[in-house]
Amino acid sequence: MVSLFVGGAVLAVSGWLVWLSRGREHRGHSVAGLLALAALLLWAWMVAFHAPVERAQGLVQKIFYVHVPCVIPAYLGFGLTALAGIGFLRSRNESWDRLAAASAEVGVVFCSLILATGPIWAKPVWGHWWVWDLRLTSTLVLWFIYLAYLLLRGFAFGSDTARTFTAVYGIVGTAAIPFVYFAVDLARGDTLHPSNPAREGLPAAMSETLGAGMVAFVLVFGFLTARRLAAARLESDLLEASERSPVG
Amino acid sequence: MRPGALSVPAVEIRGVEKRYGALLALRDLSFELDQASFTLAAGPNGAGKSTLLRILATLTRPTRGEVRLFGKNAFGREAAELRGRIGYLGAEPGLYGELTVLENLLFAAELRGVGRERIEWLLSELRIESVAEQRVRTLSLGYRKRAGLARALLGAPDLLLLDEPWTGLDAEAASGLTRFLSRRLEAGTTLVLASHAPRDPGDLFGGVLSLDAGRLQSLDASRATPAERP
Amino acid sequence: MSGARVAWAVLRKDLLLDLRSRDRAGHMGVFAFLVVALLSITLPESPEAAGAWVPALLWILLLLTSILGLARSFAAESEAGAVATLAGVACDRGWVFLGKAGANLIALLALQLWVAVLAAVFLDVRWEAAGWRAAAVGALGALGLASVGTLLAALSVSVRAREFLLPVLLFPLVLPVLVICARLTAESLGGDPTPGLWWGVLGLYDWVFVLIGYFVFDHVLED
Repeated sequence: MVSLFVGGAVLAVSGWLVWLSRGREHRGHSVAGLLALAALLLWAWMVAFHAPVERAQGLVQKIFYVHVPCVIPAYLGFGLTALAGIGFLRSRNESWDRLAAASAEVGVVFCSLILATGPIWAKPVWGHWWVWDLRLTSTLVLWFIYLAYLLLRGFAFGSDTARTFTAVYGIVGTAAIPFVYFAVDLARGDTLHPSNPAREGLPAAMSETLGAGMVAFVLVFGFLTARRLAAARLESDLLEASERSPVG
Repeated sequence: MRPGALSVPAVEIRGVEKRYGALLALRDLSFELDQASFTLAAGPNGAGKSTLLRILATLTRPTRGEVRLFGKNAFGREAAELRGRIGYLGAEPGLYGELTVLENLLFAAELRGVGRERIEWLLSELRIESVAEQRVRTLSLGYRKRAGLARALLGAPDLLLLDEPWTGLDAEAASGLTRFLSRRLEAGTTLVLASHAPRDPGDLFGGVLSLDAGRLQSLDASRATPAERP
Repeated sequence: MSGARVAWAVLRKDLLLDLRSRDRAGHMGVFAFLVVALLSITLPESPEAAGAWVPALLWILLLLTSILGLARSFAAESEAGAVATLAGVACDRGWVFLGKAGANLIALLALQLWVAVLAAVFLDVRWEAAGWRAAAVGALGALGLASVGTLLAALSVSVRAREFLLPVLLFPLVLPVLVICARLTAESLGGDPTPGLWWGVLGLYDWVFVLIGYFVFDHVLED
């Protein structure tokens, strides 16, 4: 049930973003913004009052409802970046490039949130700030790939070459992620994270709160990426307008 | 020469724009060049001549617009086949400094699937046999230019694109190059040559494409088809 | 087949350039020598304590050293405007990638041989016990590094701050190669047994990135 909602939100948001990036209008921002806000408020209420305080870990366990939902938009961001990269190489349409940039920039925010909230939870529970376990390590590598992608974009700003190169790196980077996950799994199979079957054994209130967080964060991701897309569109319109003015 | 083949323009450009970051190198460029025509792309430095040549060589993809060479989309499925018909000499000769002239040409010939006889013919035609065994790094600019020209001509291109080929040539070599190019005309090659100051061109060019700040100022194609010249 | 001919020509040309200037080989060889010497001095003397670390350290050394070679792998082209010569081939430009990656693969295999000798001498690694398994790990790992590295070197060559950018782009992507190869090398030297699946993953990685490189290189050589 929960995964159905989350999957639906992911598909709806991705479709909406692709549609937005292709067109000239920016419809649906306020609706998405309101939906995201409502979902965030509901999620916050559920974290505070609906989900029980975990017996062994205490109040600190509630950061779990921030930490885990971030994973979905973080991976969604990179998935969209690769998809838009393929779209750009095939069509050379700048709108794909803007979608790639926007989803990478917003995705890296969520990726950073995972890395920031992980240690806050890990220190009191496991006794260490950082543990080289599977999910934490592969998230760190994902973050490095995001960072490299954005650096490449920054160093090669604005030209067609830069668009092509970042599209290529977006594709290569995303192709590497499953291998990273697998390799880290092989090297350090002893994960401290609760495995998926364990999560299904969560009390209903906990898994509902988690699901609400996932949906809310996906909506926030969609809203922010849409705003970034609109800004990128304005930037390129501005660039074009300034060039077309008869100066030279 | 088949009459049907000549009816397709060698170069068709429609609404081409090329942007480098904030710089607009070419804006809304449209023109056609006939097969076997010789065209001079003229204009001051930074007018977009080199960018235009690179686009015609399918090395640079235009930001917008359509480029057709011999009736085929230069950036479509037939691009690889088209590249085999293009000879391009950029501002730099496109040769490896640490290899000799001959090694460079052998490498380029291998890329093109061209035999050794053509290398020897070009070496003697461009008068660079004497430096064939020397490394390109040690050559003077004039020799390097000519070796680069030999490389561009290896595949007997239908479309020859030369960017400032006279730079670095002395008077004798320059007029030799002009003579050489005018003889290539008979083979039906289409030539587009970019230069801000053509040295002693005589009546080499049928048309002049003049560019300024990325815009087409004029295309004087009154003599664009050399076959009609007296 | 014109594509294979182009790849072969590019590969031979790159090796000829390497033999001619010997810059790449020299830099990589000296760097690797220095680091192995440093390792042999710094690592603890008891062989059991050091042994567990050696395969991982050797693979990290290979990665660091390969940066020196990869960063130079398009230098000859960019210096002489010869990118246009390569981009002008009358076949799919993916074949140029295969030629370039092949040349880098051979350079990496030569480097591995050199590092293996150094490791045998200075770090007391007994390759004779490892046999063909170590050689196979080396070859598969080198292929992965060469394919991803060649593609990223082509991306970073025309970009500002490329010396910095190439490692930043490369390291996270080749982490799987590093991890798997280090484990498999350790196994071949008598470490813990590893499941056969690892070989499959390593081979799949190589295959995926050779394929991606082949298909995207058309775009990379344009500007």
